[in-house]
Order: sequence, then C-alpha cells, then structure tokens
Amino acid sequence: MRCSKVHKHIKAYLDNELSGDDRQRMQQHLRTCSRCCREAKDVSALWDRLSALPQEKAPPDILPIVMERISDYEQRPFRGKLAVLLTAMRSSFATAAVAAMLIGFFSGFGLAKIQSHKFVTASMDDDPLGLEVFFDTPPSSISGAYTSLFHEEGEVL
Amino acid sequence: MQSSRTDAELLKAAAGKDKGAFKELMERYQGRIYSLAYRFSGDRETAQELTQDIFFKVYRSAGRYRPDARFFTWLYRIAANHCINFTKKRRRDPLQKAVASEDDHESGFCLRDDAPGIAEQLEQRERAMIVRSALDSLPERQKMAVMLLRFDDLSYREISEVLGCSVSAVESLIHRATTSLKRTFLKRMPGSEI
Repeated sequence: MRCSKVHKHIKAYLDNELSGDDRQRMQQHLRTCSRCCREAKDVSALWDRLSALPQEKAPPDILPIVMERISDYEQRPFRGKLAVLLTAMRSSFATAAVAAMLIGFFSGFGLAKIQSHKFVTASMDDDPLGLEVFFDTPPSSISGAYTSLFHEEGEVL
Repeated sequence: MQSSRTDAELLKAAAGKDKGAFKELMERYQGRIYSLAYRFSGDRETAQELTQDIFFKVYRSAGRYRPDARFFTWLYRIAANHCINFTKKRRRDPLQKAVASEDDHESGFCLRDDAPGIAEQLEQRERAMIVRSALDSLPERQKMAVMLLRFDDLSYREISEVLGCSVSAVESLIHRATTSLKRTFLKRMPGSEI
C-alpha cells in the first residue's frame, strides 16, 4: 500500500470503517512506515481537538413552539399551500408577461421585415423612383412635365 | 411518560394527526437535533429556529415516510438538508452574514465567575473559537459529514444515507475535511502540535 493511499484512508481506518483486507494492509504499512504512523496520530489528535466545541442543551420552549405552529397549520392547512400557489402564479404571470413581450417584439420585428421587403419589392417593380406622388400634379408644372417625360420614355432615368 | 411504540409507529400515528405521538417523537429526538443545529450554526437562536423548522417539516412530511428507511436516518436527512440549505442561503445574504459573524464571536462560550480558573476558561474559549472558525471554513457537506461522524457517532454508511451519497464519497468528504482542518489549525496556531 502506498503512503498517499494510506493518508487518504487513514481516518476510515481509525474509525474502524475499513474492510478486512484493507485494514490488514493498512496495519502492515503502519508497522513499517514511521511517516504514516505519525500522520495517523496527527489525524487522531486533530479529531480529538474538535471536542473543544461547546455542547448546548435544547431549550425547553422548542416543543411548545412547534406544537403551536402545528396547531396553527392544522387550523389553516391551505394557508401554506395558498402561499405556494400564489408564489407559483406570480412567477408564472411574470414568465408569461416576459414571453408575451418577447413574442410581440420578435413577431413585430419579423412582420416589419416582411412588409418592408414587400413594399420595396413592389416599389421597385412598378415605380422604382417613387414618382407616384407626382402623378396628380398638373402637366404644366415642372414635376408634371417630368413624370410625363418618364411615362413616355417608359424607362428609368 | 414515554410509550413503548417504535419511532416508525409514532410517525405513522403523527401522519394521522396524532399530536401526542408526534410530541413523544420530538421528546425523543429534539436534544440531538438541537445539538446538531447548534454545532452546525454556532449560534443558539439560529439553532432553535432550525430545530423548530426541522420538526415542523417532519410533521408535514410524516405521510411520505416509507418504513423501508430507518426513521433515524430519515430524520437526520431532513435536518442535514435544512441546516446545509440555511447556511448556504446565509452565506449568500450579506446582511445575514454580518449578523452571523457578530454572533460567532460569542462561540457559545460564557465565562463564569463561580467556576475556578479564569485563565483556563479563557484558553478553553480560545480553543473553541479556533475549532469553530476552522469548521466554518469547510464547505457545508464536509462540515456536516464531520459533525455527524465526530459528534453524532454515525457510521460512514449512515452518513452516506443522510447525505444521499456513496460510502466512498463520505470517505472522500472526511479526508478532504481532515486535510483542510489540519491546514487551518497549523495556520491559526503555528508551531503547535496538532
């Protein structure tokens, strides 16, 4: 058994938690390795040192407080469940609101993209220069002369 | 007066709203659960609050208890999970953390004028504070494994049932905790023997 493995299992050995074979191998190693033997003593001392932690007796009023809490719970059994339900509803409302906002945003964004694409395509096909606004102008005006020129030539300037 | 009913029988009765049975069960275990909570949190008030919450949870979960698990490990599992979650939450909350660290200075140790050897008491208090801070520096699961092994005398198998992991994982938790504790003790008391 290697020293690193001994160190890893030393506490389990001290706690009698190792199986027969492992225990024997550990004992054999500790008989011959002074470093691991020292480590075993250190670990044992370290765990003994934890006993310095103060002990404390349970105060007598825990039992009556818990029993009162239970009585309160029994009288209003749905209060706790209602609180859980409300919390769940609140969080699901928030989730739904966020989801609706996201759907609205992305669908609006997509729709706008489609519409603008359609508009641009239509404009390019029929009226690539966007001269439609000048169609109703009198032919004697500059814009009227310009649009009539365009219609006569039938091509993009 | 305590009856001769087993823990499982008492819990079954408690699940059927028998408060007397639950009271008896609490009388049997409140001392151990309070001690665990106190050692884990290092603070009387917190330990009291944790113990109340744990037993309230036990009462509410009584109907879900399956007799194939031992009552003792089932109870400890609820207690360990509650203590671990509580501490994790407290670590995340800066305000609670500040309050906790103020309480920690007490370390649950009071000097008593009537007891002999003030110097000895101070030394004992100092040792307790070092052990407390060394334990508090461990991750929650390591700390809980140490508590269950050192103070509640649980076997590695029992600890594995309480923490919901394998026996070798418990061994690993204990080994890592031992290494950390050794390092902390050497740092806090350089030159002293472990």
